[in-house]
Amino acid sequence: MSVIVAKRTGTDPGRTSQHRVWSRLIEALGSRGWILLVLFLVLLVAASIVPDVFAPHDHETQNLRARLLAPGESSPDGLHLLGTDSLGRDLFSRMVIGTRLTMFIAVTATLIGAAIGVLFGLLGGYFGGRTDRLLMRLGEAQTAMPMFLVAILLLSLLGPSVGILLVVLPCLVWPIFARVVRAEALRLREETFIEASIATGCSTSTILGRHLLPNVAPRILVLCVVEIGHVMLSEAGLSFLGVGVQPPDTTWGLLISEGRPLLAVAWWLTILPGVLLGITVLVLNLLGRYWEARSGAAG
Amino acid sequence: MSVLEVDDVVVEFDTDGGRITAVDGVSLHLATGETLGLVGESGCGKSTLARAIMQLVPMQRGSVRLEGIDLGSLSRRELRRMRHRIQMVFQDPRGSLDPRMNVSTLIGEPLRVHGIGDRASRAKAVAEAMELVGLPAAVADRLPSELSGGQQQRVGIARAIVTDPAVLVCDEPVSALDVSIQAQIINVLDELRDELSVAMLFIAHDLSVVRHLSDRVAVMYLGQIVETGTASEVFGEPRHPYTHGLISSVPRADAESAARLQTARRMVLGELPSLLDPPSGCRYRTRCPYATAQCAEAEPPPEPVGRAGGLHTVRCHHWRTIVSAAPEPQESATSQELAI
Repeated sequence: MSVIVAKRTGTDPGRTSQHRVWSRLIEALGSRGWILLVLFLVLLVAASIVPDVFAPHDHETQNLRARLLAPGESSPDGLHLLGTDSLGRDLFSRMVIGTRLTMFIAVTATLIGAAIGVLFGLLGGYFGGRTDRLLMRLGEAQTAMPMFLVAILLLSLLGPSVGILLVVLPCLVWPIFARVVRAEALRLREETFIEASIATGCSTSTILGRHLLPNVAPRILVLCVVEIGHVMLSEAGLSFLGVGVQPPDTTWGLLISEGRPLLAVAWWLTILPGVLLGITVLVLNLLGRYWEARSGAAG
Repeated sequence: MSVLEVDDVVVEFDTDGGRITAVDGVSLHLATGETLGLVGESGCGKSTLARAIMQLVPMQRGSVRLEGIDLGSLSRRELRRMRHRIQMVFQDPRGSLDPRMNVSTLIGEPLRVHGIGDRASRAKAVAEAMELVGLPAAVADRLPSELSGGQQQRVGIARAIVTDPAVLVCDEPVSALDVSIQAQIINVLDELRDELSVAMLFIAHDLSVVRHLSDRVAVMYLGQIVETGTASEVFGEPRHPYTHGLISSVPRADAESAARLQTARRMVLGELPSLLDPPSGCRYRTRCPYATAQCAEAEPPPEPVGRAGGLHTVRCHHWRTIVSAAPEPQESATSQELAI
């Protein structure tokens, strides 16, 4: 049903087909499918908290005799499920270890970006006028700038570090949060219950924090889930370009980057972390859209 | 002593069609524990007046004094601190409650934001307010969407009285409710008034509701108060033709009803004129069966009816000639004057 609706109401054909793919996927999930998605995320979170439980080998142990083993081959240390890299380190273990930093950066950067975006969106949407124009122009300027290039510039000037990533990546996402929250705040501002709060004697901070924020919270949560995936991709991109996370720290993006020169001889080093990254982003996206579709239908 | 004095309030709005004067020089006052019923058609500026009194819309002129303090002269912060003395019940019970707050949080909010009492005493005050408005304790944890319309409005009323205000502004508190629920809510307000001795500005477009509650009545037409007096004066001896029309339009189950309805149709002719282009002189003249050339030229001032210093005033050039009992305007004259 939603497929048909999307087809008829969509104006941009590219957007429509994209929309259709998403609604097909969400339909395919059924009413219980989201449990699988959540389970996958729980596994990822568990892997970042207690990686030793999941990693079959020590991720730093080098074994030059077991270099570039293909997935499924064994060394004297045991089975290498996803193969080994050019130093003989177990890829699966390295992917497990990399989960922690990947997740940490993505979640933290998204939360920072969300905090800024929500604050600006609430202020702009509620007050309107000059405040609104200023904040929204700021967001537009940010969006208009090729942030990826700016990020590369910044990171090459200051030297790559996780700290700077946590400054650069939130800049990529806060305008998205600001736009969504502003639109919601603009709508809610006209609701009688906001006027009633003013009449009751609520301060502006009470209205923003206790009335507007809880009413936009569900949308923010959904957006967070989706944006974590996007931030993850951006971090991988920066790490791939060599301006993100630096060895010996590792993330999925860095694994992809490290495997690239060996793509012809050891495809798994690039493809497998890439597949994991892709699946994770997909799962986050699906879950976000699934929740959005469901809350939209309920409210 | 008046707890609320509204003096010459003017509220103007910019609309797509131009600037309109929604409230045009309204003055009224409320004594402690007194109820003033404000009646008029939809769009006559009743709700805007209520919002102006609550300082929710800016006034172009005039003053609102609450317990002697001019609310317009206060800073935002001072005004906010005064608000627990004047509270409002809104027309739309569901829309005026935050959908994400449960009943006890909603009712406790005014106490919390004004820093009244500690947590325990606030919880007690909330329970008392709920009992006062007839809400069962079991709904304390529910969200507004889980309540009936009547219960929602009880929450709205409980919220408004929990700070023990001196003035309660009720903006058509029952219009959005089922007829069967309306009487219950009116009774709640009636009991509260006696129990809390709160002064009430009760706004409605339905006279039968106002008649039940009010000590005094003000009739509003196109942003102006055209007649005001005690309830018995206004309902018993209406002087303004518009008041006549309103009273006659209240359906009553007696032998006269058919005749009254007939009169009503003659008294209030046609549609409410646009505020964008209000009639010159007397605002009501375009719909008034008694209108003369004088009505188009000069705006009638409020004149006292009966003894000097009395409360009954009316804004009509011809009130002396209009007999208060069932009037019989001349049909021919009517159509002639309307052509002006």
